[in-house]
Order: sequence, then structure tokens, then C-alpha cells
Amino acid sequence: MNKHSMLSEIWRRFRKNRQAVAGLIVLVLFVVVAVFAEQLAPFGYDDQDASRAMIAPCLEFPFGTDNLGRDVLSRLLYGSRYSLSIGFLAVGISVLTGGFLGVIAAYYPKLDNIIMRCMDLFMAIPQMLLAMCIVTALGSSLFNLMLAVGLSSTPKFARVVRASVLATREQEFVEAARAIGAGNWRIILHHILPNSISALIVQATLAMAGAIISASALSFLGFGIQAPMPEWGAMLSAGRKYIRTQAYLTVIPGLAIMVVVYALNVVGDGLRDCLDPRLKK
Amino acid sequence: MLKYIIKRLLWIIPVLIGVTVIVFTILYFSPGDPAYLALGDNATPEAVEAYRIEMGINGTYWERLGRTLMGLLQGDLGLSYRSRTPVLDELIVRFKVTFNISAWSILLGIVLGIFFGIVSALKQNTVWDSLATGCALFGISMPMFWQGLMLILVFSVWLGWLPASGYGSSWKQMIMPVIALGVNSSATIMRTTRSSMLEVMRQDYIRTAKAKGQSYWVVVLRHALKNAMIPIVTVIGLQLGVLLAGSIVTEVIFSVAGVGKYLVDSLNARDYAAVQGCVLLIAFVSAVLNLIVDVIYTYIDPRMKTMYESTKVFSLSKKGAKKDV
Amino acid sequence: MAESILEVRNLEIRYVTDEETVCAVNDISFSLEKGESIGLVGETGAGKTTTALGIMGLVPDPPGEIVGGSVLFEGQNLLRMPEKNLREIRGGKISMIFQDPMTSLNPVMTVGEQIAEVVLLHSKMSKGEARKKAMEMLEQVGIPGGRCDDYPHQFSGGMKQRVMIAIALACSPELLIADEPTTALDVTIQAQVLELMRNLKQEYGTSLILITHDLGVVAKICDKVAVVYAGEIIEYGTLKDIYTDKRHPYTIGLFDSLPDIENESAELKVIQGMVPDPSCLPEGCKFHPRCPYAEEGCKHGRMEPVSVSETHMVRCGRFRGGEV
Repeated sequence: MNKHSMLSEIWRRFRKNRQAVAGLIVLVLFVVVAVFAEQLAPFGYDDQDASRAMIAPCLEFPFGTDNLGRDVLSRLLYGSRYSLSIGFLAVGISVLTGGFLGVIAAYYPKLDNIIMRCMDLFMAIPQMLLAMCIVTALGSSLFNLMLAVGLSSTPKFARVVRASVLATREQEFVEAARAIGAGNWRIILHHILPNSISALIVQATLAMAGAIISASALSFLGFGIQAPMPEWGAMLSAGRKYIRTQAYLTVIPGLAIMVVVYALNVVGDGLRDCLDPRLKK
Repeated sequence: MLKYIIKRLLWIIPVLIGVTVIVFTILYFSPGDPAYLALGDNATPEAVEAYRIEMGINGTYWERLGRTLMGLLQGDLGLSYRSRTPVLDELIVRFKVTFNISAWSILLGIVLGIFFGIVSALKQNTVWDSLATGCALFGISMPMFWQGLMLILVFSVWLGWLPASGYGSSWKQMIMPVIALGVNSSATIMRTTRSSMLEVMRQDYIRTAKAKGQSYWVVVLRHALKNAMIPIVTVIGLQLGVLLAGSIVTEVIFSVAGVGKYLVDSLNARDYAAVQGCVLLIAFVSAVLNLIVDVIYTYIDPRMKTMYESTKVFSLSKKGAKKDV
Repeated sequence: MAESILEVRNLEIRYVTDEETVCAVNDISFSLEKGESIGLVGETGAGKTTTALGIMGLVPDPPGEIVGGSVLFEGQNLLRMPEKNLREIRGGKISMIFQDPMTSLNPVMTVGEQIAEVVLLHSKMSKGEARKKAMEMLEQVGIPGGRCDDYPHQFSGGMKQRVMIAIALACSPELLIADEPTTALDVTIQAQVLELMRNLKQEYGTSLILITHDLGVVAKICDKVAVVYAGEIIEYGTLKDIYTDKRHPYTIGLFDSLPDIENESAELKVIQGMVPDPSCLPEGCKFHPRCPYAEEGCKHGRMEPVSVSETHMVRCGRFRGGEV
């Protein structure tokens, strides 16, 4: 089967899963919003105006305004940039670092034990804790937050990739490649990675959901992005004080996080179902 | 088996040493000088030096690391920079609280997760299945902190049924933290239970059991569930770690004086001795819980027992790698 | 003539999924007398196993669906029987040995428990007695009774199959269905298992349905043979009828494809073409696309069975109208 028909076959199977398609649409919308936040947002993300503070959702401010009179909708739209970039880049960091370590571990038995035992050590610390410590050490900024979230899930990816490579490595076409004299790295890049990629894509999609939640939790606890940046977790944290009077300040950013994470999870599940031939009916 | 357990318990020591090195190193390079933070910016160099010696934070990286590790081996986690009391004492008091809430949460998670997982698998492709899987997906998509806040909003602010914060004066204070933590776990456990049950119900030995004339529910509960439990136990083990981490957020939201809240407060106060103690405690508890999970495995899956008893070399890692394949 | 214990009439089973409908069993009829044994012979995918599952009432539903026909066991139609009564028959009066012993035993229960389970279900024994019975059964299939507390993974493939046989025979069933009981086993062990089944059959007077694609195995054990092709019995008769007087081109092809040691020069004969896809079966005689004698008449209509003799039936257009 050539690449093109394989992709169209995957797409055909994916399309059947209505939930996953809906999730995909939500994600595309989300990317559009993040890219065109300036054009879409009626106000700036830090347009303060004491005269219009704490207005409940109405026509002019569909999601209301916060204690400084900033439009929640605009802040939400700008905030999507953080979630998007954190989701992508943090997972990118963990895929690259974890993938590299996993491939090395799987391919060089001498290093395997050392690398995987180190990963075990890191995994002994809950991810969230590790991320908190890393952010504290590096200082809170968007990049450091991504780095912390990304690095803290490196061990997980190292494991997934290692297991997947070990499984593919034993297969005959890899033996065949070796028999015709292909070098280790050639085999890894041309034969093994393309075959482990589907497991990796699924994991990455689901990890993106996890990363967005972790990052917003860190911001919520005050370890992530700081005011006045409109990160959703930070907005929630700020709105929390007013939960008794202005509940929408807490409800809305949380809903935004949930919708994005839900979409990612649905798409991840859908991808797993259509990439995993065992689950084919 | 006992030999295996002892071996695994001994393995926890190098793990804790490794974790200490990692956390110590990260925190060593963190900004902020604890001495100036404790004494104020105008403190005299003599006072700062005296404070450092008192707290055991004088000297080079290697001296301090050595001291920390020696302390660890003697069960001494050092003094809290803030209160100048032993970190261990502070932790023990708080750990009871965290343990209590986490234990109830995982119990809730297991009961709900397995029950709905089975129902969903047996009623595959029905409304009940869609409903249960949909709810579970919501469960794992909801950030735990937001879920906690929504519980407060509904049950404290709107309905006024439950107190929004605190711990210890009434059992009612436990309800929301336990739900906030447990529902999340139950969603993950439910999803695993469902897929595991679906997989097992297709197996040949289920057909054999039916061919014996066994009734449907006995087949499900005795033959299928016991086999399906193997991946479920793995996930429960992983959830215990997630739960301990989740207690950080939950405790902050519900103002529960547990390890998680202590950790956040310590990080904010740059009380690194306390932070290190918290991380170590959590790593230690996770390691012990993982061991317990692995022992439970051998009761469920006889193949594991043979494997453990025969292998000399084993990894500290759990079945993660096996599951990922 | 002895009373017939099982009568399968016009059994029809389909697997229906969103994408396709697989007609696994189209028209299977045969009968079996007490103590008699029948071999269902045919290629993989001919619908033999589905027939067996149909008799046991274990066709997975969904996607399986019993569309028509009847299965009379001691005069009662199993297909119309309430689940509760059916459960009493399953494992008690009718039991089944499955194809793959490696996956057919529950990995987390000891073999003793698994044998005792069926005993407890169909007799009034106490747990202790059932355990004793389980040990007895193990001894009977040639496994030391002391191993009854071992788990399946501690046994070899052949021993697992013996355990399966022990489970199947534990309640002295009146009918035993053995689905490829020897396929997954080594040749030496195959012979042992067959010997064991033959002995047990003689001892208990059990009727047997043996499903296999191995004509040698059939010759050793069976009294009757039914050749199954694309969900239909295309030839049916006594062992002698089929082995010495085979009529259907498919049966002949099946026998011809066995290597002949005595005639070294003879080329191995192969039936041309492939087993038809059960989701789109050919019209008329299901074998006609592969049949060297196919005529225009074979391609349409329904091929009805024709009697060759009192015991011998064939479903082939060449024998229509009685001329043989």
C-alpha cells in the first residue's frame, strides 16, 4: 500500500467517528481563533476600564468583564494562544527529548539500563510536582512553563517510544534492511520511526490534552503565567476570589479549557481507533 | 515472594537517593536566598552566616548535597526554613490528612470506575454505553481545580449544603475534596475497565466458560473480571500517583492543610527544605504503593508470580513498558 | 436402528455487520445416533465451527444470527429452548472441545478449579467431591492428579488439550463436539489425544461430532462423514460410502489432494480456484466456479441433495434425477 492510499484509508476510518470529527473541527476553530485573536477580539487583552468593572454577561460583553473592567471574551480569545502554544511546544519538547532517549535506549542495549533507570527516577516524582520544581528553578515565564511541562513528561515518551521501537525492531523488514547493510541510524529514521509513528501520534495528541491541563493548573497555583497575561488558568485563579458574586469569572475560563481538552481527547481516541488495526471491526 | 518484597523495599532506597539528588539540584539553582528571605534584606552578613549554619545550608553544592543525603539516610529531612522545626514532623501531621482524603478518593474512583466500566462494556454500543463513556471523557477532560471550584459553586454557594473549605471539624468537609479527586480517577479507571472487559469478553476461555453451562453473570464476574483486572490494577496504581499530585490542587482549593498545600506554601515561601521533604515523601509513598500494587498483581495473575519468583534482575519500573506495547 | 440423539435440520447462520453479511452456514442437516460419531470435514472457513457453535447455542450475537432451521437434541429443539434450560444441557449433556487449547483455558484459574466448575454446575457434588472428581478426570486423560492446583501456563499445549478434554468429559456428556481437537498439537501428541478420545468414546458410549480438515483423523474415529463446503453439506454418508464411493467432485478433489506415497510419480492434484468468499457466495451450486464438470445448469437455482443409497447423499447436479 502506498502512502497516499494509507492516509486516505485512515481518513476514511476517522471520518466514520462523528465525535472525533467534531473534535477536530473544534480544534481547527481553536487554531483559527489563536491565530486571528487580534482581529476577532473586540477589546485588547489588557484594556482596563474601572467604569465597566464586573459587568455580568450581556450583549456587549458576552462573557462579562472582570474586576479591572477587562472584557472576558477578548481575554479568552487571546488566552487560546497560550494553551495552543503550550500544548504544541510542550509536547514537542517531550516528544523530541523522550523520543531521542527512547530510540537510543532501544537501540543501544548498553545505554538502555542507564537511560531507563534515570527515567524511572524522574517518574518516581509525580509530573506535576516535577514541573512545579522546574518552574520555580527557572522562574515563571511562558517558555519556562512549556519547558517544565514538556520535560516533566519526557520519561513517559521515552518509555512509549522505546517499547514501540523494540516491538518494530524485531520485525522482519528491519532484519531485511539490516541484511542489505543499512546503518543503525538509517534503519531508525527510515524503517523504525515511520512504523512507530502511529503510537507516537496518538500519545502526543492525548499528551497535549494533559499538557494544557498541567500548564493551566500551574498557572492557577501561581507558578505559571503571571498577570496581566490572559492565560486561562491564571484567569481562573484571579476570578476565584469572586466566585460568590461573579461566578462567570470562574466558570467561563474553565469551560474553555475543558472544551479544548475534550476535543483533543476525542481526536486522540479517534486516531487510536483508526490507527490501531487490531481494533478494526 | 517475601524475598521479592524485601528486594523491592530495598530498591526504594536508591530511588529516594536519586530523587533527592534531582530535587536538590533543581532547587539549588533556584533563585532567592533563603537566608535573606528569612532574615530580611538588611540582615548583617554575620547573622546570615549564622542562619545558614543553623539550617545546614552553608558550604558548596557538594557539601550540602552530602549533608542532605546523610540526613536522609538517618531519616532526617532537615529543618523548615520558615518555622525552623523538623520538616519530617510537619509532614507527618499533614500526611495523615492527605492520606485520608486520597484513600477515600481512590475508593470512590475504583467503585465508580469499575462499576460503570463493566456496565458500559456489557452494554456496548447502547445508549448506556455512550452515556457512560461520554461522562468519563468529560471526567478526564475537566481540570481538577476547575471541577473543585464548580463543586464549591454548586454545593456551597448556590445550595449551601456543604462547607467550602477546611478539614477536620466535620465529615462534610471531606465530601467535596473526595469527589473532586475521585471522579477524575474514576473516569480513567472506567475507560480502562471498559476496554479491558471488551477485550476479555472476546477471549476463547469466556466461550469455554459459557460452554460449561455457566450463567452469564458468573462468567462476567468470575471469569472475565478477574482477567480484566490485570490492566485495571495497573491503572489504579498509576492513579495513586496522579491522586497524590492532584491533592496539591485540591488541597489549595478547599484549604485543606495537607501535604499538597504545604508544598505550594513552601514553594511560594522558597522554603526548599520543606519542598524537598514533600517531594521525597510523595515519591516514597508512590514507591510503596506501587509495590503493593505489584504484590496484588501476583494474586490476580498467576503468571506474574512465576515471573517474579524466577527473575533475578528486575526493574524498578512497573509494567508500564509492557502496557505501552 | 438406535434412536437418534441429535438431528440438525436446515441450519442457517449468518454474521451481520455494518459492512457485509457473511453466510457462514447455509443449509446443514445431519443426524447422529447414540454412540455414533460423525466427522464434519472441509476447508477452513467452510462453516464447520459455526455449525458446532450453533448446536451449543454459542454463536456470538451480535454479529451472529441463527436465521433458520432446527437443532433437535433428544427430541427437543435447542434453538427454541429458554437460556436457563439450555445452560443445563451445555456442559452437562453436550460438551465441546475447542480448537485452540492455548487460549481456551482461563489463565487466572487453576485447571482443577476449571474442571470442578463444570462438575459443580451439573451435579450435586460438594466442593471437596468436585475437586476429587477433577483429579480423577486429570488422571484419566493422563495427567497426574496432583497437578490440579497448577495454572494453565504451567502446562504444555498437548496437556492443555487434555485438560480441555477432561473438562468436556467431566459430566459424562451424551454428545461431545470436538472442534479440530488435534490441529494445534504436534503429530505425536495428536495420536495420543485421538487414542484418548476413542477410548473414552468406547467407555462412555458418547456420541461424537468431530470437526476437522484431516481425512486421516476421520478415518480413525468416525462412523459417518459429512463434507462441508461453503456452509452446505455437499456429500454425506457412512465412512465406507465416502472413502470408497465418493461422488462429489469436491470430495474427490479433497481426497486427491492428499499426497500418495505409493505412487511416487503422481503429481499432487490441487483443486483449482479458491474457497468462495462467504459474504458473496456464487449462485447455484456453490462449487461450480471450481468444478471441472460444471454445466450451465449448475450455475442457477438451488442445488438439492440427491440420495445415492440409503445412507449416502450428494449435492451435485450430475446426479440429479437419480442416474448415477
